[in-house]
Amino acid sequence: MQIRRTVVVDRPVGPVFDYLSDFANTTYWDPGTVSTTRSSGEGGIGTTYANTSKFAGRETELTYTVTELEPNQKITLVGKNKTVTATDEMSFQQVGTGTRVDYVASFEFAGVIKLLAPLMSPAMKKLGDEAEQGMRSALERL
Amino acid sequence: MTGDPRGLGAWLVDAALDRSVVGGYSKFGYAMRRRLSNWPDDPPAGALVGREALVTGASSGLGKQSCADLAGLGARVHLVVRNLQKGEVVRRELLEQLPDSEFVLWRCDVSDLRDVERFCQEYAAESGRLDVLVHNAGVMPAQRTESAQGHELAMATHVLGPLRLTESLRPQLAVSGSSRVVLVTSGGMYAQQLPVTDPEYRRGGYHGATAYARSKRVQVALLPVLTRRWSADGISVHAMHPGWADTPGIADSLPLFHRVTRPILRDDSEGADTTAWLAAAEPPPPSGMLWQDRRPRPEHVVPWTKETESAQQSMWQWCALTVGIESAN
Repeated sequence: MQIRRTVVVDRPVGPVFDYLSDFANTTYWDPGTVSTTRSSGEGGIGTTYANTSKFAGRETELTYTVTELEPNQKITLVGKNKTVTATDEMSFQQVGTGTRVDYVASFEFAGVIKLLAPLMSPAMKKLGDEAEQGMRSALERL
Repeated sequence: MTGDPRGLGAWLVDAALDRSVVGGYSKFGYAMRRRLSNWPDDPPAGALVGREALVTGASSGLGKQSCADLAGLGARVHLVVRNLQKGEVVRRELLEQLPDSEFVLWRCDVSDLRDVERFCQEYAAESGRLDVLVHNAGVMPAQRTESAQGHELAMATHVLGPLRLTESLRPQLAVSGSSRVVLVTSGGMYAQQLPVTDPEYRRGGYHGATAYARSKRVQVALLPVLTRRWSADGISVHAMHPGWADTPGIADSLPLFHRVTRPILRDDSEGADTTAWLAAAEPPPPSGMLWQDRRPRPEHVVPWTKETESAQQSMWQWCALTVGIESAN
């Protein structure tokens, strides 16, 4: 299952990348996140974050690891727990004086949850809409 | 609506035609609506005397018809074309039809932002004002094609170029305090979502008709922003879709659709009618709406094409940043 969103803002790519590539900032911009704290590393590849998310009324804990990082271009994090593997990919592109962020979140569910996944798609859409709006508001304040 | 049962009946027939698509978009829809008791009045005779009107894509189909309609209402009409030779033929034909009117020919490739800028400077030097601006130029490329600045050609022609052109001529449009901008869009956009995640059409197989319809969706989605942005200068903005008109554009790009539907396709005057009406009707039609056959129409007919406000904002930011204009309103 995949959520794909794009946010375009009139802010330079440098500060936009710096803000979003620090995944702890999801605490502030992503309404689906209760809290994210860095648990190891300095932000580069291999850095881990402890994330608590709220989804469909329940709280879940995920450990995210930075698996790919190209400054001002791309960051990928993979978050895992027993039931789900979430891959969050953000790519950055300069548009004139501004920045376009393409955000793709993919979810793979383990076991029987997989069968229920299609039922979750309205909740996923809502999650995506809220994340999109939250990211836009946060970036506009940079 | 007035409570007058005949008025209500006419309104119902009009709406039913619109929702049935084939009924409303064909020549029959136009013919029936014209006979309804609620068909809005023609613009007053001579409504555009002393006014300057500009039509892009003026050398064929609906564009040429709009030039004739606007000149018929008294405007001096500027024809913007890519090919001057073709344009000159059209200008002569228009002059034969309307010998007392004035038609001025300009060359500009609307998809090329630098050429648009060059043209706007020349226009500003020649004419101090602009009262009616019709963005009619359209393309439906068979393969993915890029503009001079590397943008997908349908988006460049229908959205980026018109935005740049209107912005660059804002001082001229502001002169009268009541100028009107018309975007000729397409009912095809009803089947498309706002392409905010892929504005340059890089993902998935390219289809010209899809690229065309997506860019038309963008035109409609930008209406609220453009309305706010330009109202300070007394500029109103309107989108209209012509229905299914028998134009060279359709015949070349969608040969099968053209063959099947030709008997019911509208002629140019039926397709272009609402453009000149929007440009000259009194009282002025409200800004920021989508029109067909002189009536506001819904912007969505299926729920899955509805975009979020954030997506609208991102689409607008992308357009503004891409053409290089200040995006704040």
